[in-house]
Amino acid sequence: MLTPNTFFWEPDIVSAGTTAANPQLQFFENFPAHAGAAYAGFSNGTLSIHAVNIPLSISFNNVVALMSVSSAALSALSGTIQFGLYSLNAATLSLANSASGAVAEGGSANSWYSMVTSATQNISPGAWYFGVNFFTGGIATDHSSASFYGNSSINPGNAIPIGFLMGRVTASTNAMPASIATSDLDRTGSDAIRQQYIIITA
Amino acid sequence: MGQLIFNNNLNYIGPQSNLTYLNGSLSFVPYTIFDSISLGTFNILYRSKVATGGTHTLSLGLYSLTGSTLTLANSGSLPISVTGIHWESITTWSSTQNISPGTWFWGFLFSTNVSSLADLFGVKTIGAANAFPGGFIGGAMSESTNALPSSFATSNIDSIGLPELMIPVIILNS
Repeated sequence: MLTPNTFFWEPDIVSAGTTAANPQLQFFENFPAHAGAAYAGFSNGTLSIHAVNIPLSISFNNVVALMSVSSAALSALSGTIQFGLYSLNAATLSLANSASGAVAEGGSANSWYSMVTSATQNISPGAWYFGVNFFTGGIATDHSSASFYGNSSINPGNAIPIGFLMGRVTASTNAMPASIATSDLDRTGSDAIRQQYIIITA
Repeated sequence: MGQLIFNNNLNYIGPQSNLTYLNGSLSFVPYTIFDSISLGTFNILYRSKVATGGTHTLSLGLYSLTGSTLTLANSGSLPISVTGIHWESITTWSSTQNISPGTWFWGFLFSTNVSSLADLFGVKTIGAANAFPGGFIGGAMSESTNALPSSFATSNIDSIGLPELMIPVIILNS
């Protein structure tokens, strides 16, 4: 079992209880209660990374995103959605696991898209980093017909002034990097802080 | 592991949507608990549209999930005859329970002797056109019922549409 960094927060604890077996989540979503804000476009091949705090262990079997794909006025869309689970050590993100899935034209508006993981893993509690990427193999404008459900488009003028929480890789990619230096990530602007709604289920 | 004093699924009470529940419709709502908590007082933010002389009854079940089967672990009920927006609470349960950490599911079953509907305040944002392709995250029974089932297969639960995955504010006190 991989061990991540320390918690961002601690749950409320009144007094120490008896030690329990390792409790498991049935699912984890980065937006509690599905509380995303809107669908937002995604720059082709731009890897977006954001931090989450997973409170209990969870079996990493299915990764699901919510997307809206329009087929109007476009030729055949052939897209791939990728997910990367990263841990952070000092200033380096390291790929712990990954998943990918196909996105095709003709899907209904507002559909779930699932991704298959590359390896079985039981994710331990703590801080992890979700990497999300989407790219198309068709014409360059294909990706504009796809958008992810996520947070709202806030556009701060400066980077968040604490440790790394979110950012994006500036160069387009069609694969999850094995490691990323956080200093190489763009952390300013709406694209940098955009977070896609992700659910991991056992 | 320690003991929680309270557990709030949303961590805030902000501008939220009205979640309308139909008479006889059983909805399963996920509820994650990060540490143990004694099952004490269950609180929801309720907006009743009960007509004069009418009564709503909420039958509430606490379900665990093993594989693809939901199993009833505890239950309580709440008769409501007021109108307007109120905090409503359930304090009496079928058994004493210290809820262990993990993912649980609340089964909400409303019944009424009038035609009015019940609203809870919460989050209503997901309206996917297809069934959720991963493990079970909640949903509603397709057929109406008048009692909480002791066990239920998740394959018989509808997860398509906006009402099926809405999440009410739920605050649990020890």
